[in-house]
Amino acid sequence: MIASVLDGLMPYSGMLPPALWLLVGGLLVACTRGVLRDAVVLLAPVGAVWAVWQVPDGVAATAEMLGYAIEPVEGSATRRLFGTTFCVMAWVGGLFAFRQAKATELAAAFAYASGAVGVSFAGDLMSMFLWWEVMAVFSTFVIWSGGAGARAAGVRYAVIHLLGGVVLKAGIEGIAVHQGTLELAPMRVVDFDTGLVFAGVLLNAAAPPVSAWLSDAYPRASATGSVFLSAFTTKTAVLALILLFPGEQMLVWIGLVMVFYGILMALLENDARRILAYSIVNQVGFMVVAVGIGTELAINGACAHAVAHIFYKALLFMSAGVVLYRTGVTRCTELGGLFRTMPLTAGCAIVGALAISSFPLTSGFTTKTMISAAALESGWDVTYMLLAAASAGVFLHAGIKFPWFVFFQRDSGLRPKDAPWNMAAAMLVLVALAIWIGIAPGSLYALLPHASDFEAYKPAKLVHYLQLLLFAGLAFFVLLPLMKRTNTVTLDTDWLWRTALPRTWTQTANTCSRTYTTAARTLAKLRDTTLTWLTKRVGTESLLAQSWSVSTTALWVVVLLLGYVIVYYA
Amino acid sequence: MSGVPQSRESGDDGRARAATHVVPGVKVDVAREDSDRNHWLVRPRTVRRLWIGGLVVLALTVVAEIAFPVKGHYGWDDWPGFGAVFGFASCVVMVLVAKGLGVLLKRPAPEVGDDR
Repeated sequence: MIASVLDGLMPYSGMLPPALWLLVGGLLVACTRGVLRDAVVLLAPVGAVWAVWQVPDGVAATAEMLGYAIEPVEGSATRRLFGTTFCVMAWVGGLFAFRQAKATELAAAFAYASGAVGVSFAGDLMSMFLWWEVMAVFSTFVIWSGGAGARAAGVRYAVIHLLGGVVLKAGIEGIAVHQGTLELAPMRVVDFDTGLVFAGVLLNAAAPPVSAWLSDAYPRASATGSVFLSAFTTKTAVLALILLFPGEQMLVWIGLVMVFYGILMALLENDARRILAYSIVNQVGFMVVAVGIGTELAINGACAHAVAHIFYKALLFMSAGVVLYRTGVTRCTELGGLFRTMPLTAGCAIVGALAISSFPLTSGFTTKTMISAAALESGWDVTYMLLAAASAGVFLHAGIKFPWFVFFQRDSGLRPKDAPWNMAAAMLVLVALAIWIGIAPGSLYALLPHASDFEAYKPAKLVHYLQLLLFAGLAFFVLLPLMKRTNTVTLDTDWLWRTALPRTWTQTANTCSRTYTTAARTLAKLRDTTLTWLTKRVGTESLLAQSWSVSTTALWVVVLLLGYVIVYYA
Repeated sequence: MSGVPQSRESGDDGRARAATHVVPGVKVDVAREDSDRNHWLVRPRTVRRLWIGGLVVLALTVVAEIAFPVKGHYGWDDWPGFGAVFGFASCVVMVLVAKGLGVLLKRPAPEVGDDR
């Protein structure tokens, strides 16, 4: 079996599949030091990108595992697009982190990225599941590299992701048994098995109510770790949705919930990186809506937006990471005025913020608007209006709020140095990508799964979006007194099982033990009272147990005998 | 005026130097400054100019509809400046809803770490 698996992994002209470039790269990062390690970090993803573009359309490798025929490598336009983006992200993340992050974190990050690429090219459900678990395990290690504050959060993250993996696996097994195939092909949620797979994928996509892991764990990773974390898990889930459930209408509603949940929770948050974490849920919501709509334009939009989002979200997390690295502070109530000494980082954050808000000339505008256009064109009117409102909301909570509270607002007195050269370089690469995709989206459109004649820059559309966004900006400054940051944290759905459930359990246990103690005590008292009464009446102290004197006894004997004689003879 | 980046002397929450919670495990060496050099970006005159410039741009986006009419899709959204009003109004709604939610969900942050 091993031989056959290895055979399947070196199919087309003895080439290493792209995922293995990153996995082996991660291994080498852990084993090497100094210049050699830096070289591995910067070269492995390059090799991986090259390998991505060697994968032909269709099944490129087969193997046999546990008696099933599996297809570890299958190519298509969508898969290559996501695979390339993941590999490029691994490279940029590596550039950002290689001088500051620990080797274990870098190695885990590369292995995590390899999981994402592996899922991208998985031709069947079993391979997909294996790489899915690789992602879960190594992302947990990335989180744990965040230090003491991340330990508990990492455990919670691992628990929920392994649980999600079990749900996914059960669904896959059900499909294998009931449908007799492990083929990774579009399906509908029609029975228990497909429902389980749906749920398992949505957990990774961070759909409420199982989304709290994202805002719990991502902000606790290290300054460099969260950059990697933001890129892979959720977008791999989006790809899985595109491949497995395109056009599943439930996704539109689930996506809309995600969109507004992300905005509202981000508006309440004080921690800069948690704002960005909720923002991930919000943006992935757009992609999920698009997959739900299912038309060619919608799927194109989901893919394009995913690519743009991976890059601009990483850019935002990088700017927050630099602030954390230089100041050790992440709470908005304690930041502000950093533009004075960190102009480069502030500038990069602003570009990222504009991109996430789909401001014209940035990658967000040429990609996210495809999704709105798809909603409009397919008659999803309510969805279209809600997405427009949400676009305004994104500018509010991420486009302005994040850079404003971190870099401007009032002077916090902090004067940190600007980003180190490698971090600055990584951010500038992503800035270039965000602007390039915004100005010349044609190159991205050419890589999309369906032929696209989408016109991003129509004058009327530009005017409409500028109105929408700029007046949302006005709303921000007008409502600023209402948006004051407070030194608080916000409860999320995980309150149910982190606080409510244990509290209920403890209360119930306490009540039970109290009842038991009271009952036991009452019973004991009853027992004592009875015993005392009995002892008094018939015990060693009682009248009947006394030793009487001989004369009294003799008198009683005579009385008894007299009585007997009278009764007998009378 | 709300939205003005305040200098330290008139911090908008009364305490410009809030206690800082450094994330555990992060070794930092960051300079701090007590007196705020009057950076050109935060001088009241610059802020006033930014506001005026901003409002001019906002007006322009609405005026631009004369040259590039924005077609409404449902009839009730087919009037000039709809995007502007919609953007502003939806933000107001979202901020208010968030405020309401905050009453239920916000808790004071702990001194060490940020566990909820």
